Amino acid sequence: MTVDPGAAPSLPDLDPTAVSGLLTRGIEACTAWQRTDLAARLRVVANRLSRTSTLVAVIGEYKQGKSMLVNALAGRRVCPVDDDLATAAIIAVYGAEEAGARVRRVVDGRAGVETVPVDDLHRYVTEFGDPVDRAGVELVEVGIPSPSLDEGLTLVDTPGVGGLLQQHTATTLRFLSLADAVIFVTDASQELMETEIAFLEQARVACPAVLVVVTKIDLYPDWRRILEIDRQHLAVRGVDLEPIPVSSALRMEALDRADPDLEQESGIPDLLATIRRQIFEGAKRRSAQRAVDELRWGLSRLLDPIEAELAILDDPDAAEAGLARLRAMHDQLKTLQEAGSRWSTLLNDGFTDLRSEVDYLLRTAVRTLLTKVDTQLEDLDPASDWEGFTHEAQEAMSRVVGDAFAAIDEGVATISDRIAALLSHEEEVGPDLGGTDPLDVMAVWAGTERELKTVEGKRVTGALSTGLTAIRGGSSGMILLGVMGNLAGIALAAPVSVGVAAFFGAKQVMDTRKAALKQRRQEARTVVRQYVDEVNLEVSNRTRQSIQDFHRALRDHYAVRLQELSRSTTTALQTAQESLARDQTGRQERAEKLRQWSTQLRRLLDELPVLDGRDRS
Amino acid sequence: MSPAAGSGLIDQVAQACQLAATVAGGRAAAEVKGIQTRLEEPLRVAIAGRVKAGKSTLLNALIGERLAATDAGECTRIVTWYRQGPTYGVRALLRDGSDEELLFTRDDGVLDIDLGVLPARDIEWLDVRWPSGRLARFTLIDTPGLESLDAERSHRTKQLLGIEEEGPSQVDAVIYLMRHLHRSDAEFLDTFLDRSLARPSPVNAVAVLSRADEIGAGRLDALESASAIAERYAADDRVRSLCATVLPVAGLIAETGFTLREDEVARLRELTAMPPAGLDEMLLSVDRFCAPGVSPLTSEYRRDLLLRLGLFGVRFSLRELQTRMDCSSSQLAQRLVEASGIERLIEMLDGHLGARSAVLKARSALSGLRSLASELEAEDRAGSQNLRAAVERVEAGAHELAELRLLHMLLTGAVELAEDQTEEVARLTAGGDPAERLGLPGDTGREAERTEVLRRLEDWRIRAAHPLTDRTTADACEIIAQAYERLHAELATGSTGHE
Repeated sequence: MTVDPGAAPSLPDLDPTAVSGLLTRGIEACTAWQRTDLAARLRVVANRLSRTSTLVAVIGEYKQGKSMLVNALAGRRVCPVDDDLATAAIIAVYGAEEAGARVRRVVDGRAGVETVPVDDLHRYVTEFGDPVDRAGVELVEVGIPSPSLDEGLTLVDTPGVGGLLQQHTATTLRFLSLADAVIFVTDASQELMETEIAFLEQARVACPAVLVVVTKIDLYPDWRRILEIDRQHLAVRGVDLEPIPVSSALRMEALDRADPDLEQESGIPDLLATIRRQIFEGAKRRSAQRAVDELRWGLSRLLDPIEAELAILDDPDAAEAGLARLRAMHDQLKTLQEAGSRWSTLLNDGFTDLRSEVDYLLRTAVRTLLTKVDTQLEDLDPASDWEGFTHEAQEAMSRVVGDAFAAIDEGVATISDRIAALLSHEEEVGPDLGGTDPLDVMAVWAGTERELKTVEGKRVTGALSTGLTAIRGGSSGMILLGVMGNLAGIALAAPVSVGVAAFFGAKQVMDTRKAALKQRRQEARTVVRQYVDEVNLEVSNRTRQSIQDFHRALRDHYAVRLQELSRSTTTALQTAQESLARDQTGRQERAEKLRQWSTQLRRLLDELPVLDGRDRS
Repeated sequence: MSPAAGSGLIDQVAQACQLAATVAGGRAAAEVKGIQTRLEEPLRVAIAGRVKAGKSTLLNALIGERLAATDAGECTRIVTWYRQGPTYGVRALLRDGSDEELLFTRDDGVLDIDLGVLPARDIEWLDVRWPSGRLARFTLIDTPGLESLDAERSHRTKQLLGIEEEGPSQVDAVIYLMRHLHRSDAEFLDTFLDRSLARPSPVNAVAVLSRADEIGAGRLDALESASAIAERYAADDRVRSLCATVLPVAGLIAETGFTLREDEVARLRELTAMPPAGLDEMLLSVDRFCAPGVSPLTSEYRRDLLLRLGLFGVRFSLRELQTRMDCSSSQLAQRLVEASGIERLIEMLDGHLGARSAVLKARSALSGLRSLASELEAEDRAGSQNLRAAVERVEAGAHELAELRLLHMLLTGAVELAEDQTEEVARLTAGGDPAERLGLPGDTGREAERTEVLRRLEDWRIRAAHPLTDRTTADACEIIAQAYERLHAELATGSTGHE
């Protein structure tokens, strides 16, 4: 027997190491009871816990040393660094056993992935890179062996705020809310500027963890003063963040020379420690929380047949009724697993609705935008205000994109809630056993609904108990990032006539001017329409695909759990019938054994930390 | 030498000012006085850019003295004018219109101005008078950074440049410092440039890629990298339509080059005497360079060198001293000035802006008079109309203004000519003696010059009349032809030329 009754008392706090210990015991228990299905899933959970995927976005203005910092943190020259050319694509760097890079791109509306050499990245990611290689690149994923990344840290190098992100602030902030953390990069050449602080204020609201890193301290003799000034600026604005000074160049040099003193001087080891403390451990704790939920589910399914059998043995008079009830449950679960069951209809209908809802949202938003553009063009001369005009159009488009993805997120969560609610309210079947009810198909779903909490006045979506968060979050963020990257590639070029200013102004005959203005407006209208069409096509492709992915994921999520429940019921039915066939002594012995197992499993269940005040055990 | 282009125009504008003086009374009279004196003063060049773009350092480099305070933090908090004066003096111009002389001391050359009991927010601007050759041609204006965290400070700069308020700008030209081409840089250029030209103009703005030595992590090839970047920026149509060119300048290297002291060179020499391995180790980072005990030279001295030269400047100077054993102090100073790129900027100021200074000033004055006319409209309708008519007469009659607009169109690409033709027009309108304006050798001779002028005049007339030439280009060709016509007349009467 693997469950040790003398185990440690229940944990007051979520310690990932302790949770992974509990998981190991849970897996052993599942294996002992031949529940390979449960054991396999808990193994996946354990794996995820040991390698918690943590998405850290590195963000900052142009040329502040973002790519260099990613390289220094990874301890390897992954992202191309150039005096002049800036990074123009999004690069996600994560730990892997062997180095390899994948470029995700969309060509003619079709997404594809290709493997490229790690050393050739510059052709795909820098501005003015190879035009063919650069085309349609959404995202570049680079896996490298690196001690700082092998626990699941993913660093995302982004183009500068001054470049891409400023045009897509709305989308950026939406992405930030999906990332686990943000490292904001500013260099030691000068103090923080107004635009940077304003961005930080917003990022702070959008993202749970933000670090401010001051780079290039090997170059500026007065970096300590800059650090102090930055600290004051942040304090004055009530942004409670401590800037961390680093030199990426020194860390690379230190690694080349294997010089630990120099490495310490670079400040990178301290930054890594801070990342671990402030970002990684938080993510790990959240991951541990999910693991505990999964473990509780698994152990309960293990306990179901034991306690059902025990109830029947303890009260032979009610045995027939008990068996009947188990049979009814078995049938009910079988019905639930059928294609036409109510929950799967709800799921399919929900996603059909979501798809048309998002389509509709995109369509109306685009129509509104175009109408607005037309109205604006009526009293604006594209020659004099093209810049401001395009900026507004791009910003508006980026809001549309952000809203579409938010609608998907919200929609998926709502569908999941409704399924959980439906399953927990399924008509009760079979006679009442009276008193304790060990196997309750409905009760297991209760509490799996999404919980809405208020954190600092902000409505946040609480973790779904059984791992739906694992489907959402990170992946959604990466999709959004990719779309953003591609939007940047869609140019909103100035109409031809705008380049030629009506310079002679007052001295020119009025109707020539009017005709020219009319032509400029017409061209501007066409250019904007083209841009909106392209973005729209791109975005609707991606939203459709991501709705499809969520649909599949959610169906699997519930189907797997129904299967597990079903197996518990079948086991209970079998063992109960076998027990009833035994003689009196045999039954007593069996009951004694069942009681022992039940106690042991309950003890393990009691050891599971209670989370967020939600106690469902 | 010929009179600078536009001296006749100045007279006409001065006459318009006299008319304005008869119309305006009270406060408006003071404005007219301001416009009049401004016509006689050197061209006003503002140095603008984001916080910490290196504005004060560049100003020092342009004057050739370490006057303006420079510091790691945001430093220039009040708009400060540096202009030629017979004696040294600093004056505060207050919001209420009064002014007050201020006491100042110099700390290692740098002005330390004692504001006394004056609160900084009551000061509109500071007026520093300084006897200096360079200030005889330009009045330089140091500005607080745009996008400063202190909204009040960036507001002051925008006020000065006429960005936020209606009305004419107080400056005639601008040197805009950019560290990287950033969205807000382009927006800034867009809003700054004179609205009377309807579009931002490369005729009175020069962009500088500043702190060029810091590009490429202070490596010895930093300035080559900076040049390549500046060239790429300058080739960008958007940038070209906003400023004449983009020049890479390492302000700190220039400032120190102009003011390098013997004792500093001696300390650099002391460093070159160190074992190479130890020196390399020191040059890894600023902290290592200043660490106590790593060199016979005290860490305070080393820190001073670093503040004066930056890591790049130190590396550069050490290499110069090491590779050229006979390198004297003045040679090193000269090498620093050459490497900094400041000389090209000075050339640009003298040539591109200096040659047009009369026209630029006239244009500023006319736009001042125009806004004065609108102000007067309520109290003296007839006088206001007279003044406006006078301004319009000058504007319509002044070929210099037409040529300035023409140049603007050529440089912004609104009118497209072949590159050599654009150069020809730029030379023609820049002023100087006829040979210079024609791009001919100085000893060409009057007769040959006249023949050449007639030939070109003919060419441009043909281009203007060509049926395939569009309207705008035809107008441009006509302005060019007229300019040649005037040059021909000048050559005939001998009103300009070799005196």
